[in-house]
Amino acid sequence: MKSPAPSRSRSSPASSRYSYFLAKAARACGTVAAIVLLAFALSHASGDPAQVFLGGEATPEAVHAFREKWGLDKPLAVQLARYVVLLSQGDLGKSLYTSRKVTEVIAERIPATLSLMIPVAFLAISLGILIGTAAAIRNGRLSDKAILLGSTLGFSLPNFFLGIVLIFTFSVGLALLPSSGNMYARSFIMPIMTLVLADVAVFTRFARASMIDILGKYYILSFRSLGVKEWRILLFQALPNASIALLTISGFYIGSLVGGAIVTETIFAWPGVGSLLISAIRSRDFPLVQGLILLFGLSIVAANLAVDFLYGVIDPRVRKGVSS
Amino acid sequence: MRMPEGLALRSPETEVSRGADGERALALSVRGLRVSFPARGGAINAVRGISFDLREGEILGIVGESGSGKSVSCKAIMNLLPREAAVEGSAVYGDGTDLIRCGPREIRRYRGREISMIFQDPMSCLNPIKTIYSHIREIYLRDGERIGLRSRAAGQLEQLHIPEAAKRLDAYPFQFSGGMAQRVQIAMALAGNPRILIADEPTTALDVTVQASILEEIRSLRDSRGLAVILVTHDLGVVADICDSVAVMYHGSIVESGPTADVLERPLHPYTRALVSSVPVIGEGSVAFEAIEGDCMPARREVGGCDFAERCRRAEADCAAGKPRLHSSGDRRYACFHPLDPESYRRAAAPAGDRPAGISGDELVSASALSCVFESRDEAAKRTALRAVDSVSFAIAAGEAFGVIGESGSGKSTLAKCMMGLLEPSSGTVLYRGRPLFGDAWDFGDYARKVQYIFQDPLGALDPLMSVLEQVMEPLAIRGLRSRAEMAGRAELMLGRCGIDPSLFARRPYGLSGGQQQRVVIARALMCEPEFLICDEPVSAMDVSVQAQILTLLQDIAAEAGMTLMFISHNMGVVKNLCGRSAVMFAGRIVEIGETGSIFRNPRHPYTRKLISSIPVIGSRKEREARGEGPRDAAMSAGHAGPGCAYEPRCPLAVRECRERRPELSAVGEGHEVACPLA
Repeated sequence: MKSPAPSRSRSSPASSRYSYFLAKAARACGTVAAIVLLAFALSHASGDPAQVFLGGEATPEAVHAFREKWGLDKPLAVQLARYVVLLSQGDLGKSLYTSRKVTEVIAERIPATLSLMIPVAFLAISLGILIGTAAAIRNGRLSDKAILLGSTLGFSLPNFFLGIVLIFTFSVGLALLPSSGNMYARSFIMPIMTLVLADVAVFTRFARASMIDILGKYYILSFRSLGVKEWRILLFQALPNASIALLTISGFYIGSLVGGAIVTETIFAWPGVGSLLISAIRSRDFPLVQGLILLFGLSIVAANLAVDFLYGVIDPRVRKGVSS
Repeated sequence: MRMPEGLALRSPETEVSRGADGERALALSVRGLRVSFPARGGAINAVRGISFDLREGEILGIVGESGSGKSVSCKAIMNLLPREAAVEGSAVYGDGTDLIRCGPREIRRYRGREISMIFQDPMSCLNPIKTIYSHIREIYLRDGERIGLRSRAAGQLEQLHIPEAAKRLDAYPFQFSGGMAQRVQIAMALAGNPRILIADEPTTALDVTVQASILEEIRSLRDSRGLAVILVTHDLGVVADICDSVAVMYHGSIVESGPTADVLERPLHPYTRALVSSVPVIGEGSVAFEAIEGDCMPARREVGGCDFAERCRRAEADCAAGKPRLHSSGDRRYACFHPLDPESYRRAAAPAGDRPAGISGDELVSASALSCVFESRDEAAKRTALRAVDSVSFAIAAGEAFGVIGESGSGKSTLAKCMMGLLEPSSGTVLYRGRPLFGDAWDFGDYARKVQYIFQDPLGALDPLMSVLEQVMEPLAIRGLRSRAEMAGRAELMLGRCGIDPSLFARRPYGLSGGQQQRVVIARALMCEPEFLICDEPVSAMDVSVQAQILTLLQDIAAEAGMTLMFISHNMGVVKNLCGRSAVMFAGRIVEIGETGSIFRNPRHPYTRKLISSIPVIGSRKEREARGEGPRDAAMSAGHAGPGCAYEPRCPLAVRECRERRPELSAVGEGHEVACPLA
């Protein structure tokens, strides 16, 4: 299929670039609004918060007082309006238990999660691309098959299993590494290993698949037929194209990192956002759960918005609004 | 103008050294080249021992149908085949090096510097996310050059007639037309001053006027720098037009080779003759085109005797007994036990002269002032209106075969979609038997039973999960037939009529060849007993031999059933042989309409003339001056917004009036109308 006749006018591409980015930003705003609504709806759909929090034996008076205190006696629309207004002021309400601000509670936990997740993301993506590319070049050969097998194993092993195996080996058995907390630099080794091993497997597979796809394209053959060095073809022609496909999953991946390590954080008693979510759910602390849902949703939207922007940077067709 | 350094010319005196006998030096000598690929159930022999010589300044055509091994041979010479391919024989470059035996490091020194290759679809040969400049720069960097690259790149593109080259360096491939992208590919291939250019179907994906200009480019490169060219193509017209010598490949072997005019006009091998006969011609008068029976033999099949024997009309008992050796006679070679008498060959005249033309029956379908406007966005994301079809009017009589000719972007497929009732026109009406389409009383389901369509890609039109027989039964089930036995019986009958062997009935579409798939599509369309059959490029993706089979089938069936045909194609030869009347479209408008014979004999619109003169024809090399649109053609596209004639920017006759007023169709002969005041 030939592409529709592109127009030949050479007016400034700047305006279209902005219009592409603006359109993406507008869509992200819409998604955020939907997440806010969903977060609100979810916490109300899981039953009457008063009953849930106070338990079945609570007196009607206690329930009534609880409702009044948290504004739950008002009509739903009013509650939503209040929620949105407070939200716009950065107020996510207070934790039902500690009465501390939800924003504060969450903010406390974010550094621990990020200090774990930033190295994990960096390692998983860069190692994945490296190993995946190596496999793609050796497509079909023994080393490629070995890498494929390894990556299948890597993401088939559940995190909790791998984490426990590591704890048994290095903490219980060899007594080399601390099994919980984030007190020491050594504490980072096992959680990072647990997470990277699984994630690198995913990226290896994706990088391999998209590199194989790109290496089969005619422009690669063309550069090869012109005697361009293989490493230059790989680095400057194939990789930028393959990264378009990799960007898509990187967006989801990075976005989900903030709340992603729920299991691993729990195993290693890591004081991050993931383990906070587990305890908030256990204690039915619905403003806190609501706040965390919002955080997870927003980080995914933000990561995907960043990815959309990067598409535009890498791919001129996207930037210039041409369907490819 | 400063001489761009990029294309420093090789002086013919020094570079095209001549041998003792006055022959030009060998650029490449291929001997006993064999390529096989490992596969389940034994290796597939794609190339079965071919040998040829290529001299400096020579253009050698390699022709053959798909799967004949021509592209694989070229890749083998370039050492570009994947590791698993087993390559035997030798391809010795002019300096004595066997390219096939080169290691990866060594072959890289030859690629692009001594021998370059360009590929079929120029768009897919350019990295979509890199600028044109970064492509050419990569070639300079290969040669270790670092300074003044931009201006050199611009000079290089200018040499290949890309207008405003300096400005276009920062453009991306998708902003280039196919013809310009091919020029970029050629510029990259020639940046290292190679002696040999291998061009693998370089113009197959391009419109015929652009093809003419690219071929002209290749010819002038040969003339100016003594470039040796291997031109791989399936188009015998292209071979006739540009090649000095030709090798015909079938089933991995060269079956005939020699000087172009000899081989094409006085073939010795029956396959060559069959190929030549299956090309629909557009010359004066009409000659019949004959289909070669059967499909091209798949590469994985092995037979004991002559590979072509099964399809050969002259085959005798000994043909199946052993493989014919390549015989030499003078500068010609052929592999056949019973070669043709070279002087005997004359193409038969068409049985009844021109196709019956004109409105014999009542009007079946008509379009009046039909327009289709799409909103598109330009680079600045501004909305612009693209008039894909621009007030088009015509009528088709019952029983007639009506052709629509146009290049890509001319609006012919959009027009077809309107006629099919799939796309509602922006304005104007389509009347079918006097009743308007898209009106309140119009019933699409009812219309769809009377009107059937055949598209270019048969595989895309068939359900991949249904067997051949089921697909063809489907229309009957939709029409409410209950009895499976009756449906199957009728479907089998129709498949048989369309030339599908009963042994194929249970297969799925991908188990069939392209020609067989299209036959199934035709059989399915005919199950509805349509009154009107719209064919949109039904044979464009097929080899000439299969193309001829499908055209013959369509022709016969339409005549038998008294069906009305609307036949859309960019291939003028096909239209000429099939259609009594036709219309030529340019930029959404009909620029010429009338009896096909009269349009071809006496084309009046400058665009029609250009189209006809751009088609390379076997048997006569046209005058070069008249050919080739010139490079500016590529810069023009459909949807020309000005008030004047859309063809004006390309028109050699254009006067001021043409820019100001859009010409309307007016009669120049009986039933022959042209939209040009200068015609």
